[in-house]
Amino acid sequence: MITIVNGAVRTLRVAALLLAGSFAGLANGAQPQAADVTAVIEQARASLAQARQLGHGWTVTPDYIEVAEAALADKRLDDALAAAQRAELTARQAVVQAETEASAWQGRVPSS
Amino acid sequence: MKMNRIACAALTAILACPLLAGQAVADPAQDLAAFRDLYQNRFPDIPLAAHKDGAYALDEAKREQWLEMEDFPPYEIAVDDGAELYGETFPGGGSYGECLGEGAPAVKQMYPRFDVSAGQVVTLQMALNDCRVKGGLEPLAYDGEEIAALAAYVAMESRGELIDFAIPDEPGALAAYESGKAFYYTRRGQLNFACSSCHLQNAGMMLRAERLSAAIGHATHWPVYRGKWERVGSLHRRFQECNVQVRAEALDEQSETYRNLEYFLTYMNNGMELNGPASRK
Repeated sequence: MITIVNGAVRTLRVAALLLAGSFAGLANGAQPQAADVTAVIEQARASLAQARQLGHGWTVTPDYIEVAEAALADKRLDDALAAAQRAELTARQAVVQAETEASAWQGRVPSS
Repeated sequence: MKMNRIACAALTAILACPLLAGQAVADPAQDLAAFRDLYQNRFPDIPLAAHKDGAYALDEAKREQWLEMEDFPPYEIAVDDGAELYGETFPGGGSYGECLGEGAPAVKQMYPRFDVSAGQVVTLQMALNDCRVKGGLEPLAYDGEEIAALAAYVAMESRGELIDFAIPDEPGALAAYESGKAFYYTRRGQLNFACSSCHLQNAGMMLRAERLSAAIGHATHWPVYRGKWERVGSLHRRFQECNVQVRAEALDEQSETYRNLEYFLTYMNNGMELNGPASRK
């Protein structure tokens, strides 16, 4: 039970950090924990895998993940979280691009 | 009132884009006709055939520099290396010439083609490697210099031949064509560019110091010696470079997706003369 509650709290915390990072660049002053960073990195990996499956991986996402992991290893948690959020955001944007482009490309085909 | 403004803006947007309001359901012949019309209308003073020289058909100053470079073509060494490789006899008997069949080595115009029995697009590089395997040799790496040299030699021998093929009335061939077409017009990467963003929508415009070439000549002149590569490389290497430039992850040379893209692009170059190998900055 405690594990479930802890997991839910961590999920909420990660969601809050993602949201804050997306709109305010971590301006909310929350102090990230290593587990939060790891969770965001995992989420970024999952979104990147989805983007790649759709044929739309972006080159910047793995770079941000690498930066996040290096910062996490150095215990620079603010930097790690910022990079992880960028990775997650770019991966999600790549997925949105793939979904949009699944039909949008047809409007660019020249016709006589 | 507000709704009227929105409706008016939507109508204006639709009316402002007649050239690009295409339909993906067109058949390949209709696509080709529309593609050719677009460039003919965009560049009325430039014959379609001239686009085989890429951006150098659109920029006189750059063309002069390029023609001077062609006095001592940087791909010449690769052609010589390719001729030497091509002349070797396979350990299992036979040669590239026997394997590639009638017209060899001037066979570039026969590729890419859809192999019905294999159910896939076969490129010149694949055909060359297939010959090697049949002759008892290991296939060459698709990103290596030897396959590029072989392709450069075949391209040189094929100069003057015309791209002239139809998409077979076969579901697999049409699917490969449609796959290449979809890739060509799909925006990708963090910069959100499609191949068509540069080479169709903005062909002839400047991107920093570079003149954007028209897609209609893009399949005629490969492989190419590119100054920034300092060697001869394939069309697929250029695909990779384009993808990375827009921050999209590139695919492997000779991947199915890139072969389908080459198939579509080459079909769009129907009627044009082969003039490879070539040199580019």
